[in-house]
This record gives sequence, C-alpha cells and structure tokens, in this order.
Amino acid sequence: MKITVTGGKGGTGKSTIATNLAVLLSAKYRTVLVDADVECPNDYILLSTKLENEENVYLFKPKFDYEKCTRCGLCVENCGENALVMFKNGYPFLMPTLCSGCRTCQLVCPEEDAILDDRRLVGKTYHTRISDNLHLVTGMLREGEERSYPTVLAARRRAMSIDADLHLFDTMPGTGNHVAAAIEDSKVVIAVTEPTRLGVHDLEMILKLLKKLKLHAWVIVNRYDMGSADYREIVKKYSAEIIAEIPMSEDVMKSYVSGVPVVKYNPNGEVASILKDIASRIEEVL
Amino acid sequence: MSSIKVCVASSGAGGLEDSVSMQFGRCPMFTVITIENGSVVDVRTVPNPGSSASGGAGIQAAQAVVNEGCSVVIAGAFGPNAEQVLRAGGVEMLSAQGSIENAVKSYLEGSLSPPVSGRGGRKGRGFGRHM
Repeated sequence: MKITVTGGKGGTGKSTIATNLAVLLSAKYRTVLVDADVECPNDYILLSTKLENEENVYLFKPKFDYEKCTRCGLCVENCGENALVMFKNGYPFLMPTLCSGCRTCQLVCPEEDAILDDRRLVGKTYHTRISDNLHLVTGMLREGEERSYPTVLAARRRAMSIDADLHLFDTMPGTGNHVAAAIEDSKVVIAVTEPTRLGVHDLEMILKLLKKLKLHAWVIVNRYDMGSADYREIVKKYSAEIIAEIPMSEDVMKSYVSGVPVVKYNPNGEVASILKDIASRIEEVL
Repeated sequence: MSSIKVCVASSGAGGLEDSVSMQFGRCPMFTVITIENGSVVDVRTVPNPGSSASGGAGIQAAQAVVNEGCSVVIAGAFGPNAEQVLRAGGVEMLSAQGSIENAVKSYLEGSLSPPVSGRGGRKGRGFGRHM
C-alpha cells in the first residue's frame, strides 16, 4: 500500500513526520520510505544513515546523424521547448538544458535513424537497507538540473520494485508534477502544515490538487501553537480531516539535532505519542 | 562594396525612431538595418517570433536573427540561451540603450561594447528570469 506525506509549504515538518512514521510502522510492517524530495533529500540525515547503491537517472536527448538528416526542419518546428535550433544553411542542433526528453523530434522525423538516442544525466537514486523491515529509497536531482520530474519517477519506480507492505512517500514542497508523481495511487495522503498564513495558503493549494486527484486528505497541523492562522475553514472547505495537532516541542528539536527520530529519542514524550496515534490510524487502513 | 546587416531589438514597433529593447529574447520587434560603406541604406522591421514563445524565447529570437543574415545584434541585454545560439551562429552581440538611431550611430563610430556576460550566472534559465 502507498501512503504519501506532503503539504504544499516547505519546512512544515514533512520529512520529520515521514521518517518517524516509517520507524514506527516498520516495527510491524515491511516499509519502504521514499524520499521524493529530490531537490534536497534529507530523510537519510534525519535517520542518521547513508546513501547507498547509487544508480544514475538519465533522460533522453536527441543525437543527430547529419548524413541522414535532410534539413526538413520538422523536429525544430515541433519542439515544444524550443530546444532545437537550425540556421538557414545549417543542420538542427540541440540546446541541451532546454530539452525535456519528450522524443517528439524523433517521432516526427521522417528519415529513418536520422535522430538517434542519446542521454544526459539528470539525477541519482539510492537504496539504503536500514533494517530488514525498513528500506530507504532516495531520489537526488543533479545540481543545477531544472527538471525534477524524471528523478522523482525513477525513485518511485525503484521503490515500487521493492516488495513491501507499505511504501511511504515523502514529497517535495509545492503542487507541481514532481509532487503529483509521488502522490499518485496513494491510499492515504497526509498534508503537513503549520498555522501561519503561508502554511494555510499552501495547504489550500495541496488540498486543491488532492481534490483533482480524487484523494482524501488527512491534515497534520505541526507546531499548532506557533501561530494563529485559521486552517480549519480550509480543511472544512475541501472536506479534509485534521488527524493531529502537534505542539512545538524541545524533544523534536533535540532529536532533530541529534539525528535520532523523536519516537526513538523520547518514546514516551507527548509528540511521540501523537505520532504513535497517527501510525495506528494508518494501520487501520493497511 | 561591403554590406552588413545589423539587427536591433526594438521595444515598440521598430524603426530608427523606436528605442532599443532592454530585453533581446522577448522584444516585440527587430529593426534590421543594412549598412553599406559606413552608411545606412535600408531599414526594415521583422517581428520577433520569440516574443510570444512560452519558453525558449531567446532561442527563437536568436534563430530568427541568424536566419535574417544579420552579423551584428544590438540589445540592452541578452539571456543565456540567446547568447549561446547567437555565438553558435557567429553573430556579434553589442549592448546599447536609448534610441535606435543613436545606437546605430554609436555602432558606426565603433563605440558600443559587448554585453556583460554570464548575467545571473546560470545557463538555460530563459523566461527572462536572468534579469
């Protein structure tokens, strides 16, 4: 089963909650935690483990065979990203940073094998076996790369190929296709937010996306005592459900600094017990 | 007799009275000026196909300039994508502000300098986000 922790706004505690839930649930279930926050994946830091079993993520890019190219210009005309250039008396060539790897150029080219397969490195994925029951799959975007979607997809594929009871996805902030790719097919989606105007604003964006995807949302309000913005109205508007309100806590801060999930750092603390309740709610749908 | 075509990114409808666009890739119009033996013999306007592009505007604009047969292009600033294509097409880039007429004068006097390169420090951003 697939569960996703997301939330819209950055820095609300998505990774903290995802790593803690993964630790709790892996006590009973074979769990794969998927760090799909490919722009800055740091679940491995929160779990004090290492990135292992590196694999490259490549994206298609066209390679022209100028012996076969007739300079018809169809590839340039049809490139949705304007990544191809052809001067009046020249042959088409690629601006690699703009290419999305869609292969349209190859599909519209009337000549056989005039546009061949080439590829560029856009990211990496990792697979860390933390314990028999807890695996971590991490996607990491290459520095400077603009397109995060292919690396999220690669991490998702790698994670889903691991046989497990539970795949727990931790997404990037935002509501773009890199987030949607992680959310798709989830049984439960948890939106983590905070009671600030920014938090509520971005919560609405993610709830809109979930509505489009026809997915029910559970909302966790993290550090609910830090601000006074009204999140209840938005939650009601989108028929979502607040399943937990987590207070600010010294335990969480200390666990964060020491690199030990709070459910292990202080298993009997207030926050740990709230997280255990959330884990049992997940168990109910497992 | 030496003839050279100079393209000026224009902020309005183009022509010598118009002003130089601060932006190469997304300017609405190009003013293409033919210069023979140091004097202007022809002024034409060409719409910039990049002005309405959703992405890769600089690329389309640069391609059009190369295809017009221009060997010099004048604008306030050039995006990183446009810069790459113009360089590949062997087009000289020069920076100017103010009226196109004055820019052309300055060009003929040889007082225009190339744009400051690496603006924004990132390649492939496009969308005019380098400003």
